[in-house]
Amino acid sequence: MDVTQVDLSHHLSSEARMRKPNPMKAIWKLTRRKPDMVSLANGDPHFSLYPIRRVEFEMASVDELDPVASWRKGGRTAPATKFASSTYDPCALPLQTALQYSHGAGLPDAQRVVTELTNFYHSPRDHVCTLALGNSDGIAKCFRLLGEPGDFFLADEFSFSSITNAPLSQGIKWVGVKMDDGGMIPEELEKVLANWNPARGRRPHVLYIVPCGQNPTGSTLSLERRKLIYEIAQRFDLMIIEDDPYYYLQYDEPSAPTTSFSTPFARSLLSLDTDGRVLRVDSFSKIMAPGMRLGWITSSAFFHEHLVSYTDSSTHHPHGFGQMLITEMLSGPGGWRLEGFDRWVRSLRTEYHRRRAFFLELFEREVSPTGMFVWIQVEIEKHPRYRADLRLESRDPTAPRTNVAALMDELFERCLDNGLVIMPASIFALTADAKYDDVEDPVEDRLNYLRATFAGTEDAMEQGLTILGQTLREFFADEKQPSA
Amino acid sequence: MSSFEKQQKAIDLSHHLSKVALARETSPLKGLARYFGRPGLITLAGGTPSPDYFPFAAISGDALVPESFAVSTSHSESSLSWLWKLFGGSSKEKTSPITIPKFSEHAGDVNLATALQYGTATGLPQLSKFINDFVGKIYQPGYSDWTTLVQTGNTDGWSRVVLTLCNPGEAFITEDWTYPSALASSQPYGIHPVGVPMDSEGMRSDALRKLLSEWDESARGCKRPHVMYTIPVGQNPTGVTMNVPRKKEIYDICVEYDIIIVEDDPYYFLQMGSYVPKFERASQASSVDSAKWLGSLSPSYVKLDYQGRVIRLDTFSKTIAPGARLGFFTCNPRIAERLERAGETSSQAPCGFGQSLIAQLLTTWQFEGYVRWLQGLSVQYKVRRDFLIDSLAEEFHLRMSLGTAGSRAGCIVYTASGRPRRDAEMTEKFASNDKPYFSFVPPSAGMFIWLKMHFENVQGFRAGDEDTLEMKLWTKLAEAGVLIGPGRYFNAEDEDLGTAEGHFRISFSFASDTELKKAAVIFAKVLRDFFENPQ
Repeated sequence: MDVTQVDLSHHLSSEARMRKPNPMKAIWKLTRRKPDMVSLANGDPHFSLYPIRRVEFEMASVDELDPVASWRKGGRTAPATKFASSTYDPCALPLQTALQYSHGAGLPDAQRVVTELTNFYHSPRDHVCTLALGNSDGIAKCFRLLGEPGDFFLADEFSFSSITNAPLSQGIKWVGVKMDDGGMIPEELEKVLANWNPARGRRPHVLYIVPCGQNPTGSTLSLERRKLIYEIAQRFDLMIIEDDPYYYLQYDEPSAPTTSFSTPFARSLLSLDTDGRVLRVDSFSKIMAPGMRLGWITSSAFFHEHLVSYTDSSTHHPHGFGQMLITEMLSGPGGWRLEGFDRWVRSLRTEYHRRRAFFLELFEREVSPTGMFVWIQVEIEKHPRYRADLRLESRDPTAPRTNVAALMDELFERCLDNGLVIMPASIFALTADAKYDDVEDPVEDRLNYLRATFAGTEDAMEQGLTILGQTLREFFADEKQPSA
Repeated sequence: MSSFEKQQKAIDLSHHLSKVALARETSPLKGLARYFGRPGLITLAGGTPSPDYFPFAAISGDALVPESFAVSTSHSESSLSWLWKLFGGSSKEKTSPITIPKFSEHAGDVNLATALQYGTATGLPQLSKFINDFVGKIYQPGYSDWTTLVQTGNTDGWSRVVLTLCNPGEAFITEDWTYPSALASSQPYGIHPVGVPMDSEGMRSDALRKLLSEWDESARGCKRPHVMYTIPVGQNPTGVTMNVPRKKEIYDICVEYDIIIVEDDPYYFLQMGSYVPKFERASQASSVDSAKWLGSLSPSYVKLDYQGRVIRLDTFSKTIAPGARLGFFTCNPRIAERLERAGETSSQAPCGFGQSLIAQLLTTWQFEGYVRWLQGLSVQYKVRRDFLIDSLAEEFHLRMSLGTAGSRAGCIVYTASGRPRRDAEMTEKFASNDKPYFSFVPPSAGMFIWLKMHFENVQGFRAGDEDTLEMKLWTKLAEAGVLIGPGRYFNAEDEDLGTAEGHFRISFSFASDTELKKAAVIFAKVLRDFFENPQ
């Protein structure tokens, strides 16, 4: 499958353009060329001086039918498997290589295993993988690759604030696109681009999107929407940053008792990418452990080179321990291999479906299909002090119409006083620019949501939802809060 | 050293922060973290996966013992057999197991449930504790409210620091030869280096003062620099080490001109003492005890820092392994807070595996064990350095002299020319037809030897040829099977430096004894041919 030769180099930021490849890394590459080359070029310590000779990982066995369930239930005696990287025993990635300096893309063996993984699930056209230190790092690198001070980036109207916070200090602003239960609305995206006022600045050329288990709303884009969005990206020449940490946590309908192992995973934007305009960011954080600080970016070779260049003069390649683990796990003797990994993630998906079912039993609401979160809609208009006449009163045509924002702040404080932390929508909302954006329906009027997770323990969920129920009752009855 | 009571807190240096650093807000999610401490609080807020789902039961490692490398060389063992015995001889090494379970038996033990969870940006508690204790004992900061923060290696550390302190277009001070990755970090933002010449102690204080006092903003196109990036021990690439009197002079100038010093110090523990030629090398039969050895190390800038204007970068890359991607900052709290904010929206925290394995290793070894390990390492590097120079002495005619001019004033310089001689003696006498190929000052710390090439002795040399000759020779060496570092990569300002000067940086950190010897032989052959006929 050939990638259409679309030139996307105009999307690079000035910073990326100015960056020269690190000459020391170029030398490092040369050391690999001749077999008996003696290198006195780089300051690499000899591996005999590392104080560690062997690292062994004891991990869940994936030989079970439902590995996650067996792992949880088994506790200390759960069936486990061991694999190791060392300087002397046969293994997929010897320790002396794994703990040495290497190339910004990651060690070739580690790069190969994530490439195979990506090919397995997404069959991308002609893309290359670059290892990164988790999704925050991967996305931050993509932002720097593409973003110029003064740029506007597109994202869902409610987005994960740790990510949207990142480029602000670079001078990049956000434009929110309206969503519904099914995620970003393609027609709204098109509207923003088609009606862009050039006086505001360069028309947005980057779209940041979380297509599965969107954070915070939990929505997942249908295949049809993904195709429409990609087609809009082609027409308006956008780069797409596909942030997909919950890819494997896609569930069947809430009414189904469980998600079948054989239910296929959704088609990613990467799998639709014929132009090379998708930068997909994957992470092991939600499916293995966040502290692994390991993930990867899949892109065309062109952007890969620039990412490597940036990596080589900042974080360098990821840590050897993580690369050693994934290489042994996916290709080593005694490792999980791709089939085992697939069983693990399908089993994890089933487990999270069960948790979501438990949560929903405690809480009867229509909710969205995926991820780790439930996006709870609060019927705020039923509150005794709800008002919808603020715009008339203030005579400001751009001001919010309602006092939803203030009421939700109160609700949040009440929850805290009653011993419950839950995320208010305000944390995730991208505010509009009154001068340019459509202010008919400002996001401040639509903040009547709370984000709750079902990733915690059953006890926490039960207690938490009990407190929430009680707090909502008190809130709507407008009971006087006890004085602080 | 002033007593704790006399130590002041860091002064206010927030005016040094860049626009980007000032614009960083606390990530709103992290801002909620202040609520999380309340007892009995139920959270349905964060998206942290339960440790039950981490598919790890334990990680373990086979670690070497702190005494793995001897601290004295003894006459009875030839350096060859003693140094290289570890090659392929893993069964002879003594190792002890370290294990990190998912859940710990005793509260306060390192465990994977914590190490592999979100939230270790300031460092795993056990690792932070070790680091703080270590910094207090070894570096002895000169002000009271210093703090540490983990990072993912010094290149990342400097990359975060430069963007926290400098705005695009600004200049920062550095030695006139320096580490290329540091320059590569700042270059795309238009943040450019201004080089200060060095001498036997490293950066010259008189040249620094001149640069700062005569800074002409309109001629230079930017404000006077307020940040210095320096590698004072085992300077990369020149190998020079700076001692206390010079550090004091430079620190005082930085106080006067309000400059933040970023001390990049990866080779601090690879301080080896001076090179002594083989035939003069007495055996040190008695080992130097650890406390004495620590006392002999040139102190860090941090010790002289009474205002909190030094940001120190430490890394485990050279003392444990480069793949650990782990190190730490030592600096004042305001800067640490801004560095933490920068990390939050990028790499977040160093890898949990590395943090937990290294925390466990260090807490098993304890402070004394780690110091013993470091001492052993320094001797290893000393032996390697000595071996490389000894090999050069065997392949070339090496002559010792005292440098008198420029950056070599006061140094012992070794000059190499072609050897028709049969023995490896070095001599003061200089045969009149011995045209030098290169010369160097042996490093007393670090991993590198910085060779100054004497291209003026190349057949048919014309002024201006240095650049092309450097690359030509580099290529010939690569073709002959030896890779070395071309000097131009280390030039801070990308300009022509002297006439007839090319440089190379050679490392003795990695190659085996056979390889070092082989490299010296190839080097001699290629140089002889090249100087006679550079085509």
